[in-house]
Amino acid sequence: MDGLNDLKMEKLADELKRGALHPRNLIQQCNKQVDRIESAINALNRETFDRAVARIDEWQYDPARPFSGIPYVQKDNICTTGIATDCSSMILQGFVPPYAATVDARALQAGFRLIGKSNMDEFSMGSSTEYSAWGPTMNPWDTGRVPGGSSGGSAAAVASGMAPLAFGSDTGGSVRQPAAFCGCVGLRPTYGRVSRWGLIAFASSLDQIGPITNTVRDAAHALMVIEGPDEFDSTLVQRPKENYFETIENGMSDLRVGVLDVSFADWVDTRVKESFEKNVAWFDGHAKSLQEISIKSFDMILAAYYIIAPAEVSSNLARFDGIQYGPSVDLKEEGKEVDENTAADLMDFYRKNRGQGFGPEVTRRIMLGTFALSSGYYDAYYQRAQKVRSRLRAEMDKLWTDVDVIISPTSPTPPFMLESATVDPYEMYQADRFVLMQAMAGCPAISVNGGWTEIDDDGVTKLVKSKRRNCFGKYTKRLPIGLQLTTAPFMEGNLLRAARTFEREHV
Amino acid sequence: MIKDYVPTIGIEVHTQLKTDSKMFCGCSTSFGNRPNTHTCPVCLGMPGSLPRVNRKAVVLGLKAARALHCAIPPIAQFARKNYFYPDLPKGYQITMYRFPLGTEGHIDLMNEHDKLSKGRGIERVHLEEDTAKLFHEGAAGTYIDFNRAGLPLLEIVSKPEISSGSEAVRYLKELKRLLWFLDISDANMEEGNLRCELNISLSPEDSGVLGTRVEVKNLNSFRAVEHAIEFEIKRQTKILAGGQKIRMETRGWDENIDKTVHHRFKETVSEYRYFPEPDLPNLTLEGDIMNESAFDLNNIPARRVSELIDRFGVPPFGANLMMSGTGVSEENPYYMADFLIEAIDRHGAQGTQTANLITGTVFEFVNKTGRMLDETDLTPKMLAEITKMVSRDELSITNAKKALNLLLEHGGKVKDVVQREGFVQVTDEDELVTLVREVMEENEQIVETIRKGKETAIGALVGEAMKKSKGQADPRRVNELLTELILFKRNQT
Repeated sequence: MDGLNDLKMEKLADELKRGALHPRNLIQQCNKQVDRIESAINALNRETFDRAVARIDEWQYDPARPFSGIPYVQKDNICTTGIATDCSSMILQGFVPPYAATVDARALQAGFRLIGKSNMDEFSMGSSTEYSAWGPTMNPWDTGRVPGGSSGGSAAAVASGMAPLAFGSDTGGSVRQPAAFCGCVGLRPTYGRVSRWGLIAFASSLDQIGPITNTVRDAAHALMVIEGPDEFDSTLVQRPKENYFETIENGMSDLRVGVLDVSFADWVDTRVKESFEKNVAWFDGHAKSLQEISIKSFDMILAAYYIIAPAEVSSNLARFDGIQYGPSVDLKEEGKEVDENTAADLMDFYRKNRGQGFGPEVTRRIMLGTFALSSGYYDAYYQRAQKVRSRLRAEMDKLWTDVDVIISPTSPTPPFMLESATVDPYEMYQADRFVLMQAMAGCPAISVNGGWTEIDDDGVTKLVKSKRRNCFGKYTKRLPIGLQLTTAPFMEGNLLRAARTFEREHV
Repeated sequence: MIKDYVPTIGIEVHTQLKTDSKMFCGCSTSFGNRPNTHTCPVCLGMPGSLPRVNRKAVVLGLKAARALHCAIPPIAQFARKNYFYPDLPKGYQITMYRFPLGTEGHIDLMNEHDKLSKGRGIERVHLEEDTAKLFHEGAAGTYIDFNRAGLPLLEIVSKPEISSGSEAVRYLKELKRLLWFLDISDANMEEGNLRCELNISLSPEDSGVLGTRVEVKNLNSFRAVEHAIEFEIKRQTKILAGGQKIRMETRGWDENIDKTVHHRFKETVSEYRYFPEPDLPNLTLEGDIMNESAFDLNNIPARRVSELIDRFGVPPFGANLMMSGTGVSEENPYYMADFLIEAIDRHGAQGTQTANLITGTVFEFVNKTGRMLDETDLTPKMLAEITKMVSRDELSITNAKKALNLLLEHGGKVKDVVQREGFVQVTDEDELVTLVREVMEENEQIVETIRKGKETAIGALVGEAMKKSKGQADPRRVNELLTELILFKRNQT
């Protein structure tokens, strides 16, 4: 192995098949890696190695389940039977679901072994994993920087060699942006392809679970494990599993590529632009055609997203009132004064439990959403945002007659320093600009590594060719830059094929 | 001076639909179980759970909307109604808001002249989920039973077109009958699976403006509805006549004192922050779901009543009784009416007489034994046979009733029963003449009185003849013979 930071599911499966590796040893290696680096990274809210090795001696290679014995990490907003799932929030502290998310049940069914639950921005709200009640996760390539978010723990776990696979959830970029920041592959499937049963909702009309891996092929394998019909999610488009491997190595000379014009806007970091320019040049030589495309409603997407998502948040998070889950204040005793630890009545009880249980970003979005839905403002905000969303969908539907794949950077900046974005939330929201349109239009998208940039003590300066393998332990001052590919809904076949073609010649 | 005020009343009805499982999960809807035994992550609102629509509930809701002649839109949409309360596990109730199952309908009613008429308007019909049930146990605290959380409810909102207590009750009774007969709901007010709320306002006559609305809850019987409306009209009239203003408030019906009592004032508009439920796709109301909810509109109970009266000559009282749900099982609510129609239509029975036999004898039997008509061996053909024998003077009404009772109880053939019990009416002229002569001989005094001109006394002799023949003599012919023999003799002398 080149280094534990580069675990690949396919390669490991091959070693397991050949008998060159036993899952017991594999899980032990992962455990060692976690022991070595977790204190510096803080990627996991809890470890489940005990469970991962349960009855491991009975393991036998099964060709029907080629990934049996391979470790994975589950984001802490995806319910795992009998294992605490708290969304990195005080208000869900100690919540142990008696049921599994469909995605988790399918991973276990396929023989994967859960080694831990990953850290995240509280209830997935954030782009840096700094809004976790359990402290931030650090970027494995530079622990002074953020891993992105909200699935920052999942991306950091894969990037640092804790496991070859982690699941994340993507509401407005929460799988793709941290994958980009950590140099991994992050896939957001089409809305309605993967069941949301058991995913603790952030914004129901946008949430979608996707894998974070080290290779495009691994992402395809993972998607094939978790997709497919599920009667427990009514928004799921009930369709059979696909086999992406029939075409994934076929190259992309038949695909028309569109370059999103705003990729070169002035709000995009110079190093990102430089990296992306090189990517564009590559596609020019490999795709059927290349053209610049623009989306008229692009500038309205951010505003519309930050109305629709908080509106749904304000409702989805209403159930957390401190009664069934998490800590709660006491009712005031007869004759005593009310203080911050006691409630005067039911409303006061709700107010204090929620006020103390939710962190600042969640509170902010609940308030935004509550406002946007209130009578007298509904039409001006929620209704208009929905119109923007419909317009965007119509516009993108039309685009797919001209191009098959749209490319853009994943994030306008390389990974930023810890505490640099949490000061001004509006600044932080800007970092999502490339990853919102796919969520709003229901399109699948993937982030792969598009290049590396070197940092010196003053910050990032120039692009460098490729990453060095053993990033952890031997510290390297290099940061990944993400490249994002997007296709029409349910065209994951093309998406994975194009991404694989690019990856084959770059990594 | 006391002005006249016009009451404007609207009624919101919530009724539990007759489904085996809850609105959005597979939990059982059965009633009276240990608290919190019929629950799951969905109806407990646990994190990560998602609702899925109970198709049967949609079918039943559509059936109701169509029975109430609503316009069915192409699409219905679930929405979230957001508020905090301990009986609401998710912090919102899934209901329908902008796009209900049906709008702009009306109820078919039998009016005071027993004619089918277009009753009060229906504003909307929509589906929603029930809340959990709270038990306030004083100092011990409040307990929550989530068995009720997520039960499918149908909300039926009337237009504010009702103007009196009796009219409200007429509307509610017809609605209840419709829901029960069409197998949509048990519609039992006492058990709480049909609940209603009133909105009452008063405005000066011809003013053209609506008054301030008062909401009344806790109404668990028709009587309560009627009395609450009467009480409110009086109470509000008094306030307005005194020059004061009505405040927007919610009141509750207190059975013990027969009055409405103040619950809370509603000075501001409720803020429920409705928005479309993102976890559920819109319901497309066409194709299969429309076929599944289709039914013969002639089976709307009021229409069946009207048919019995107008087409089959059934007296209104009997028609309503046959369409009241008594004497028939839940699975077969139209059995009584169908029974009657078959007897008349297929077996040639006479309408009014047959109806009277049913409303008299059959209901008496049902009440006495607790058995349903469809549990007995009586067939429409048998009933028709009996009525035909009555028309042909082969059976007296009294014996017809007796025979019917025996057939209801033990079954058998009409002919056998009539013969075995000796119910056959004597129509043989010789036999009758002998009988009449005997009666005349035994009652010479009465015969004399008749001869002297008091002809009405013949009735007494007819009675004697009937007694003597154990009811088997044809009373009409006995009467004729007596008249002939007694008065003929007088003329001879």
